[in-house]
Amino acid sequence: MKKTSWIVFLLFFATIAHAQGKFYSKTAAVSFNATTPLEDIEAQTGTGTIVFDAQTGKLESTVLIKAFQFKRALMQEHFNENYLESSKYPKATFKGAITNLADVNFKKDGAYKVKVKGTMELHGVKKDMTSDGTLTVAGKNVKVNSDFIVKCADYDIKIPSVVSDKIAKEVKVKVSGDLQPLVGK
Amino acid sequence: MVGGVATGIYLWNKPHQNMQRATADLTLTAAELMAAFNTDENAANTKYLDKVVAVTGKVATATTTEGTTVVSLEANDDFGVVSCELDKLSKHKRTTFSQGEEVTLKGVCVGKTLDVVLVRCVLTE
Repeated sequence: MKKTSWIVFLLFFATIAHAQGKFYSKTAAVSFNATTPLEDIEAQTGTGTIVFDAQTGKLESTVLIKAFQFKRALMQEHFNENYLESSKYPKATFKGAITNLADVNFKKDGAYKVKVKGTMELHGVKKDMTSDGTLTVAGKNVKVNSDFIVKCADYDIKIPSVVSDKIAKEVKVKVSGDLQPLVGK
Repeated sequence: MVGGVATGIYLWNKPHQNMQRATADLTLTAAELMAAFNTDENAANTKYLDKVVAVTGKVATATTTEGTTVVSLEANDDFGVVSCELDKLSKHKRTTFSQGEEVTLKGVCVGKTLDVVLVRCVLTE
């Protein structure tokens, strides 16, 4: 091949090597906060998974309930055994898509505001939800961030009346992940 | 009455399990643990969830994000690994690992997404 055609060839690959295709993270940070004036309730994990398809906008995320670490052991025990029943329902999943994918330019680095729509399954209950988020394109990688509210009642999470003033009925959830391109083996 | 209050205070302040001192309920290789979940996830959940499991395998990756280190062990699976989140309450001799080195990590098994996940992990020598 001639030198010029090699340059064209390399330029072509340099372009398509920029963010596109499928991306994933298996070390996404997921945290939630159910704090009330009476009690600080926070937990987090660094083991969430996110899979994102830049062609279609499809987004899937899974987190294991037992992976959440609380400051207090007793709180963690109650969360798992009484409220989320994590032995029966070990996972929370979200399946959906970015609905304004056209607003994202995967060839240009930057932070883009995105809207996400889909179904979340938590505590054995499936429910449709929408959320706002940020998708950041950085070279070959993509970063996603989203904050949303989960209402305990929507997912049949029962809080006994004795402690109901201590636990927020609307729980703030944060998800963030650095996604890398999925390269087929 | 006093006893009740004392028990209440004790329970409220009950510490998390000390992972350095915890004895492993089950010991196996990363590939064996992955195979157990791939064969029958429900049976594996019953057997491994909330248990202290010591897993041996070759380090695939070790990443630290926002103070959380996750060490993944090769598990003879196309996409999944055994993912071990290091314990934040324990002191670690080291938090850096070389790709390919064989290690045994002890932690609490919390289930499988694409990976089998262990949290509160410590390195065992």
